[in-house]
Amino acid sequence: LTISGAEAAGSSRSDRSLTIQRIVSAACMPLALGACRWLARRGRHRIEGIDELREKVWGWLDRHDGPVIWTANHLTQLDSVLATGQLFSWGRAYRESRYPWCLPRTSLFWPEGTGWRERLLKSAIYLVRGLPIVREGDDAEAAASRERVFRDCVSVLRGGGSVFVFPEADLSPNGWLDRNRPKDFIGRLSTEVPKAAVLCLYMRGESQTRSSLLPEDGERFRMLADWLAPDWDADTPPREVSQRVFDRLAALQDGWFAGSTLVRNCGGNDVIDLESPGIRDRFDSGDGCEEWLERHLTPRERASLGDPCRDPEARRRFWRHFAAKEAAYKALAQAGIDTPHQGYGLLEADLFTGRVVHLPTGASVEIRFTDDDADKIHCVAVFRGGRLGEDGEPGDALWRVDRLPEGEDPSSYVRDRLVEFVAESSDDLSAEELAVTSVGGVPKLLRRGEIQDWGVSISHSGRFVACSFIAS
Amino acid sequence: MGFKRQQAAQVQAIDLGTLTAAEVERKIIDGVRKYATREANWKGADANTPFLGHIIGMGIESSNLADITMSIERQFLSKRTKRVTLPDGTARLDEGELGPLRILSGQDATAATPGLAVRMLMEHGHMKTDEAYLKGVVSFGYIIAVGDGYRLNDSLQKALSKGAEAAANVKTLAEQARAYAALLADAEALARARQEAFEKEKAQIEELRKELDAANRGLKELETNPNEQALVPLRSKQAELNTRHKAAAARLRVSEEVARGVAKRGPAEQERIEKVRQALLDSAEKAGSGKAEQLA
Repeated sequence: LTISGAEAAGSSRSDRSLTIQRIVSAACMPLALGACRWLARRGRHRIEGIDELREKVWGWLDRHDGPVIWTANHLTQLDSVLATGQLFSWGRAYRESRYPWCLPRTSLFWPEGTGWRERLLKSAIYLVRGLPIVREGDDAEAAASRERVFRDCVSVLRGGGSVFVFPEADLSPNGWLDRNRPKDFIGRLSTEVPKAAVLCLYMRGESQTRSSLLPEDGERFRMLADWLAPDWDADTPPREVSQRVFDRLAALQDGWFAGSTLVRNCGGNDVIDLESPGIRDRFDSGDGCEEWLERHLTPRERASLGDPCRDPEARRRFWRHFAAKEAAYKALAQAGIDTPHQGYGLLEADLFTGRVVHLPTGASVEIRFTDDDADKIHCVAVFRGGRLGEDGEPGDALWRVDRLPEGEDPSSYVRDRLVEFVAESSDDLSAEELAVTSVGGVPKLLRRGEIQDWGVSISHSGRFVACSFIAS
Repeated sequence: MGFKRQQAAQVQAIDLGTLTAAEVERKIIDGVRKYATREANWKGADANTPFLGHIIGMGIESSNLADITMSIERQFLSKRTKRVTLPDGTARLDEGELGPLRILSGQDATAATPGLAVRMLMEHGHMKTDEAYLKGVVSFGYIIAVGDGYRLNDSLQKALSKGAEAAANVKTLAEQARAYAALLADAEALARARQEAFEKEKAQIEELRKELDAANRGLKELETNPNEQALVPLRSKQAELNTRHKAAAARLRVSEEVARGVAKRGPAEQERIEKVRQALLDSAEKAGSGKAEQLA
C-alpha cells in the first residue's frame, strides 16, 4: 500500500499512480472515514451543529457539477481529518470523488525509516488520500517539491476530484487568519482548474487561543462554512482569487469570533524613557552588566545584540528588545497566554522580522516601533485581531505617546489618556461613556457598562505615558 | 574603578546564615529604594508589599525587575555556591565555600514581594527555613489575586468620580467588584481555577514532549538510514522543540507554585483578602447607595 519515499517527498506522481491510490482509497473509504471518526471520538472532539452544517455543505456540493477545493483555517494537525470525517456521513461514503485529497506535512506524517510504526502511518496517509508535502524551508529543493505536489493537486482536480488545502500553507503562528497576507497556492490552483469551486470552512474551539499540534481533549468546535462558485477563468490573476478566498475565510473568522467568548483583539504596547535614571545609568555603572543582560535575553538575542555594556547603539538595541518583549507580553496576556513574572527568557524578539515568539507555546506576536527618538522607544504589538500597519500605510492598531505632566500619577494619568484617545478616535464615542477596568489583570475598556473587545494597552516609563488599542 | 566597586560590594555583603528572616527582609526593602517610584508605599512596605504596581506596590518599573534580584545578590553571601548541572540542562547550587549569593534563572519567578524573596532564599537553601516567618508571607497566587482586586477597586473609584454618562459603567464595575469579592471569599473556587490553569499547561507540555520524542525518534532512525536532506530540518526542529520544552517547563513550575499556594489559605492570606474584599464591597456599596442613581 505504500508509495515510494521519493514520491512522498514530492516527486511528480504519474496519473496512473494517483489513479491507483484513488481506487485503493475508494475501496477503503469506510475504513478511512471510520479512522477519522475514531480519532475524533478518541479526543472527545465535537463540532456543534454538525448535522445542519453537513446538509448545508452537501447542498452546495450536490448543486456543483465539477471539482471542489476545500479550504480552511489551520490551527492543528487534525483540522482536515476532523472536518472531512464530520462532513462526510456514512451514507455518502460512496461519493468518493467528493472525498478530498489532503496535503499532510512530511516532517510529521511521512517519517523516515522502515519500522512498523512508520509503515503503518504511511499506509494510513495513503488510504486517506494524502499527498505528503514538504512545508519547511524556502530552498530551491523544498520549493520544487511543493511545486510537484501542486501539479498532483491539479491532476486530481482535472480528474473531477477534490483537494483539501490550507491557504495559509502552514499552522498560523498566532492562530489568526490574516486577510492581508494571501498566499498564491490556492489562487494558482483555482485558475489552473477554473471550474473548481471553493468550499471555505472556519473551524475553531473555544479553548483554541493559538495553534497547536493537536486540539485539547474534549474540545467543542464551532464550524462555519461558505461557498465560492467559480466565476474566474484561466486568465484571472491567481492573487485575485487568493484574495477572494482569504476574504471569505476572514469573514467567517469574524463571524466565529462574534459568537465566541474568546477575546478577538489582542494588542500591547510599551514605552521606555531612555533618560529616566534607572534606564540611562543602567549600563554606565558597569555593575554586573553582562549578568544583567543575561537575565533579559535569550542566548540567540544576546548573540545578535553586540556589546551594550560599552556600545551606546547596542544599548538602544537592547531597550528595543526589552520594549518588544513587554509589548508582546501584554498582547499575549489578552489572549490568556501567560508569561511568568521576570520571564524575559521565555520571550524571544527578532527585530529584523518584527516578531516576538512566546517560547513555551510557540505563539508569535507582530511588533512595530513608533515614536522612537533620542529620548524614548515605543513599541506596539498585535497578537491577533488586526493589522499592525507600516509607515505610510496605517493598520488597525492605533497608539499615542504623551509626556507625563509634573506631579501626575503615571498609572492614573495613562488611564485617563487612554479613555480620551479612544474617544477622540471615533465620532460615535465620548470620554464620559468610557471607563477603564481590569479583567484578570488585563486592562479593558467599558462603554456604557459593556466590556469592549478593543485590545487596549497602557504603559508608562519616566516622563512618558503611552496607550494603544485595536480599531478593527 | 571596577576593582573598587567589586571590593565595596564584597565588603558590604553579609552571610545569610548570620541573619534572621526579618533582617533579610528589611535589607531587601532598603536595597530597592532607588527603584521605588511610590515612596509612600515603599516607606510602609512589609513582607507582603509587591515590588510592582502603584496602588499598593512600591512602583518599581518592570525595566528594574532584574535589578531587584541583583540587589539581593549583592547584599548577601551564601554557602550554596557549587554549581551542579542537571541532566535536563538546568542547574542547581549545592553546598560549597561561602561566597557571593547567586540566584539562578527562573528561581525568582515568584519573588514578587520582599517576603516571597526571603522564601525563595530559604527554598533554595541559602538560609535556614523559618516556618514562623513564612506563616506571615502571602503566597504568590494571592499576591496576584489581591493586586487584581485593588486594580478593580481603583477603576470603580475613578468611575464614581465621573459625570452622568458614567452611570452604566459604575453599575457594571460595582457588579464586577461584588463578583470578585465573592470569588475571593470562595477559597475553593479560586483554588480550582488555578488548578485548572496548571492542568492545562501540563497537558500542553505533554503535547510538546510527544512532538520532541517524535523528532528524537526520527533522528535516531536517520542514524541507521542516513539522509542528509531530511537530517538538517529535523535537527533544527529538535533544537527548537528543546528550547520550547525548557521554556514550557519553567512556566509550568510557576503555575504549579501558584496552584499550590492558592490551595492553602493561611491567616496572612486571609487578612489581605479581607482587606481587599472590604475595599471592593465598600466601593460597590457607595455605587449602589444612590451614587449611580444620582449620576443617571
